[in-house]
Amino acid sequence: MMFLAILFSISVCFLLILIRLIAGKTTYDRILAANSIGTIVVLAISIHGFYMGRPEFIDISIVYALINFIGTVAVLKLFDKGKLGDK
Amino acid sequence: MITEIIINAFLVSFMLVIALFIVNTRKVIFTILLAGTYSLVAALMFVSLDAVDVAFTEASVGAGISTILFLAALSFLPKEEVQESFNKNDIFALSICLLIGGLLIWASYDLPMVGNENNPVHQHLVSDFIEGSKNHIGIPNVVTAILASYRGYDTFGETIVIYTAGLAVFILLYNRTSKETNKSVKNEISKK
Repeated sequence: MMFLAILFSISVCFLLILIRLIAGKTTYDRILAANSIGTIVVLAISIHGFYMGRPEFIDISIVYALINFIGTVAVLKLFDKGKLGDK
Repeated sequence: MITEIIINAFLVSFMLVIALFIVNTRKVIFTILLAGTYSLVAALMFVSLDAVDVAFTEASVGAGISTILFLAALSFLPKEEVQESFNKNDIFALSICLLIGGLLIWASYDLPMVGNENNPVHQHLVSDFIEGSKNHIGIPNVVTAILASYRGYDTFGETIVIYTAGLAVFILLYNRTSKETNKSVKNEISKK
């Protein structure tokens, strides 16, 4: 019951962030929204694992968190330097 | 059961909205951001379908590597998509696409139904794998047992092929000017 309530509130957050991602005013809004969707997905995977009775899936959510971080850093580096390569 | 259906319907409609906006946006950077989000949600979908290994791959390749590759390619491209005008040749290409697509859909009616347990795929080997893999190998996950043990040599060969391809790409794209920087780095190290 608790997990179901958490899943529901997470999906409401999902919708709000989706609105920000699509109708975002600046690029930084959208980058932040994409990053937050990653965080929400991490939460949703863990809660879903507990809800279905298989909490081993937390490993995957850890991988997601790492990948989400790398992706955001790559986007921000592109904005900062104008390119991704060395030099 | 009903909550599972609700979760899956929610995720699919979410993916649909993102896909529509991917088609709509003109700025390439937004397209890349939305595509990364799309594959994250797709991975969540795979988790809810109990295909955890696929979700792992989707997360690391779809959301991680391909986003970064697209961004690296973007730094060589103009930032905005060009608005394309309609061309007469497009009708020809579109009709060929529709024709071949329609043919393939028509041909797909001859295939056996998805999920039917009397399909030939589910008849001879799969039941052996499902029943025997735990006793033969001792790995609870059937997919892992097949990939790492029944098809172990195959997976090993695949790894070698991918490693060779990566080396070849590295040799082709190797930047020759960086040899000098390597030399200077070595000199600095030897000085110390």
